[in-house]
Amino acid sequence: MKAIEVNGLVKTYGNIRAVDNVSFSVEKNEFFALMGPNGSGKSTLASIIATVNPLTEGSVKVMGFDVVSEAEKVREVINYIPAFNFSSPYLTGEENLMFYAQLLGLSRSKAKEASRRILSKVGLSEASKKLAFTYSSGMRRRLEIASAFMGEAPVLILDEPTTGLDPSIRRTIMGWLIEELSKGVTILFTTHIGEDAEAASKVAFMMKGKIAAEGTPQELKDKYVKESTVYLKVTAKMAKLTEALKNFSIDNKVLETEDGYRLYSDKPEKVIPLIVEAVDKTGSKVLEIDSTKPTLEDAFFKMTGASLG
Amino acid sequence: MFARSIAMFVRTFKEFIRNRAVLFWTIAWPAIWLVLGSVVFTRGTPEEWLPQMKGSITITMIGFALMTSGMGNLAGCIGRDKERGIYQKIASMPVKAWEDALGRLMGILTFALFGSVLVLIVGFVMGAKFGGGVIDVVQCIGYAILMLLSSAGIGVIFGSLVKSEGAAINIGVGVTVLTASISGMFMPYSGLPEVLQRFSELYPPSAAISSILYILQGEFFAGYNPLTLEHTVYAIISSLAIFILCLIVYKQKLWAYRL
Repeated sequence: MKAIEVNGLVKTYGNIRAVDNVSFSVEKNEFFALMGPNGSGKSTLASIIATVNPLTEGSVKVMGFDVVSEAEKVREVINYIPAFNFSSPYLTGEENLMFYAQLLGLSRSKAKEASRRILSKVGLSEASKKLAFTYSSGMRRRLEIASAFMGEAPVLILDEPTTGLDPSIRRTIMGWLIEELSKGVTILFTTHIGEDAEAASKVAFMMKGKIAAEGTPQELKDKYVKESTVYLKVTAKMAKLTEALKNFSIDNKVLETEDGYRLYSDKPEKVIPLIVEAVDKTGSKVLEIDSTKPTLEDAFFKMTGASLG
Repeated sequence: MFARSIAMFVRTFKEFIRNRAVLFWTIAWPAIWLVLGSVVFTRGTPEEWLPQMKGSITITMIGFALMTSGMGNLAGCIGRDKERGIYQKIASMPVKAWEDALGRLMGILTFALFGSVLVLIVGFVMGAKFGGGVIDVVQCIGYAILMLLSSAGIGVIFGSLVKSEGAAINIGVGVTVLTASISGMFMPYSGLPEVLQRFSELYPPSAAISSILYILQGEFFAGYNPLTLEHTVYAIISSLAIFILCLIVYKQKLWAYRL
């Protein structure tokens, strides 16, 4: 049995097909990312799986339960974190977590104990007695994501958990989610941030309501983008150097930057020493040279022709 | 069985008690009117009538506090949760619509009781006196609950239909102040034009206040006899009808999208 099974799912709003014949499955204990730009249908898809948005056609099962005919059973096995701020501004951090823990069925004493433990985990122990409206947006989001760790739901569904947060908090949150995997849970999250999707064990690219591609991050990168970007800074740029560098670029294209060049290579570790040699031969000197590996965002761009913006 | 309703009740009550705007409209505003009414508007009243007059103002202002709680605060609470998408979060959890509704109603009931006691204390401080025995008080509590149910019903309908918290509160408080004014809560029933006297008799919250005034202070302060059989039946049925309508609207507007 799969943790989540989506078959031929369609969701329409009037004439708009927000989700258009989508099928995919998520294995138990898998870390699955739905990646796509705003408006691609990923949040709609997450809300349908979370039983709060009726589907138009197709079927969705969570832990074997159908989201339409067995919605109440589905609610027992999921913990859904929507994209918006759902914490209550006039409750403290601890009270907010306790409230959601009690709705999940925890007793008051267990909810209190769990709230304290999880607030400590997400670094909000000191602010636990402060009202949520005094929190920064990052603190509120951490508080809301912390509610995903309450209870014992085997499937976590997080809609854009890191949107609007700075990179260090984003990485911390992704770290928490990876920690949860060790408890055997299955995680499905949506994102438009390639770096976050890199942490997933499987990624589905969503575009205009459809799944455009699916695979592990490495598979997607290998399939859709092979080259790395090589950046170099030099003491002097010159025409003959530009011509020489074209021999090392996969598409014979070299972009001039303010203080150097940028080119694409599928074997950067091999071409970098050759580039340094070529620069020396022209009389210029390399001040700095480095390469970056292709990212999921690059793969998404190559595959769909659209940015994640 | 009621654990989730209790969690919702605690949350609702804490949100009310910590919100300054809610505290102002539900407690400070009626208390200010009560003080003004007792000091300024009772000038010229014969000395022997003053305690009863102040008592009737106190009852009316408790009524106003109950109306504000139901129509304004509950509407705002529902509007805020709707605006923020909290209903979507709650609907994805193993919570039933009735558990949510019961928790919110218990919250508003407790907060209204809290506000009423504070306004009553202000009334006693100002020298208010009330008539009636234990049975009368029990009867009055029944009418107060009916009034709260009808006010909460109207508030739930506002909260369910309006899109934002601000709009829900403004409409709720606005309708409270307007209907309280035209149904004789800030002036004697006898001073109202005939059409508004009819409105006062038919509008469930003011009908309930008139009944309480009649029971505790006498017909002079109620302005008419609201305890006739027809009127009593009407007050009960209309209040319950509004409340049942509110539950239907609430379920359809805020919980129907759930699968």
